[in-house]
Amino acid sequence: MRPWIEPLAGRYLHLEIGGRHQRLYYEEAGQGIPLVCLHTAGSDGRQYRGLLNDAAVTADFRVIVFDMPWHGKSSPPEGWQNEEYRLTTPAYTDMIMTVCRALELDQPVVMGCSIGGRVVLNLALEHAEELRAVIGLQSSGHVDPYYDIKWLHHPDVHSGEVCAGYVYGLVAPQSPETDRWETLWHYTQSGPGVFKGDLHFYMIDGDIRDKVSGIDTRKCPVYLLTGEYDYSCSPAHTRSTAARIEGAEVTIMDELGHFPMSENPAQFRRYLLPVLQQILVTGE
Amino acid sequence: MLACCVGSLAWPLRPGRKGFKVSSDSLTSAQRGIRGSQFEWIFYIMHVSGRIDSCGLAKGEIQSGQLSVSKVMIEKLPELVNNDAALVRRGRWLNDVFMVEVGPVQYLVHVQAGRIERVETGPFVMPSWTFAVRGPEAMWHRFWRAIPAPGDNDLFALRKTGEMSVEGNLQPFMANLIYIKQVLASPRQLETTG
Repeated sequence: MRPWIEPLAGRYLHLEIGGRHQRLYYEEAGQGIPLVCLHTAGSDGRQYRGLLNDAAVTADFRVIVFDMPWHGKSSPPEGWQNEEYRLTTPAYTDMIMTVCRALELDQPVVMGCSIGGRVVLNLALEHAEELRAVIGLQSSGHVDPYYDIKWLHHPDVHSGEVCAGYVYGLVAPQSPETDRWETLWHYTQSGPGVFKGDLHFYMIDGDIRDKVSGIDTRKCPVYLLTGEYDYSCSPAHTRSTAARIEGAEVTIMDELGHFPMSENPAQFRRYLLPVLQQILVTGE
Repeated sequence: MLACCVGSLAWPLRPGRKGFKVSSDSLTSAQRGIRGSQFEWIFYIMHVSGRIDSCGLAKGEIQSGQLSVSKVMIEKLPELVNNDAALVRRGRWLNDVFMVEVGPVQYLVHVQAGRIERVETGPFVMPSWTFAVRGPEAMWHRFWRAIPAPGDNDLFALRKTGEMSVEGNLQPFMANLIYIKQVLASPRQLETTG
């Protein structure tokens, strides 16, 4: 095999989020409309490796993927060892907008998956004027707890193994083995309690069902794409959420699960590219 | 005895696929008591597992109604798991007995260092197990399809709908979660064996 280098760059951004200093890692590739990508709970920005290397995307979009604090190559804040990490709606929303402003992004598109697919609805609700559009992958207004999340951070089980085990079946059966296990690997590397802390937002704090009808899609278009094999945020969840948002566009993606951009990038781009094209045309 | 019952069984046809057909002209009353699609699966599984040839049933088990698709699936676990070195390695720290309940039928699966040492079929008088995974028979059949439909593809998906339950001491279940999921999904291979 001939060695080659991916056409993307990784940097560390120092900034204050929620009154605390953060050392935040992000990667970017391409030029044009800023496209900020949010990873799922308990994972990191590597989920978007396919998108960052997709010339059909980076020709017109500046793809920016950051690891949330506590995740991936971003550090946890000072004093992390003495606290329990819990993601909340205001903290998550503020984090994303703070990063966008710190990077001086003009009218970015924000695309998020799972927890990211949920929070983009809050962004569309509260920050429509600053955004060009939002894309929610595996997006729902709410998900009821359907398993005991205490096991995700418990001394009797290996945190990495059990986190991967929880999401193991959220990957569609048709997804390539290499990408399936790469997706699971990211989960095995999650810090102790981080996945559980993210699920606090996903299952407890982040219920936005009663608010989404306030989203004005004329100011901030909303595109929702959901893989058919996701039983956590199922197509039914997405349709139910979209029914409350006038003008939201929904696409159910065949042969994809909860991690479309990571578990099967080739299949995912078939659905994403038309959405990006629509955003591009709308902006001209 | 059912003779020459397959009208157009040509490998790799299987139930649910166009062209698969099992004639029931000469079924006994007990055999007719088994629903059509279920019977097709029984026949199919017995065929791929070598328990019948393509033209007849063996041992009269269908006639007695004792053999079910699920029983064949569960009994195949030792072979399916123990021949998969990576799966055995994944479960190498597990030494336990767990129960699988398929509808009203109970099975005890004995695991030793990731190998399935044996599977016992109930009913049991006083079974001892660490954790139990329970679900109706129809659920397991859907779960064991080679490519399950959305919602049938994972134990936790079935937990979410309330069809499947897990109970007992969940520490070994959680500590070996991918292993357990893969073991219980291993009968999916039977649909593509051959």
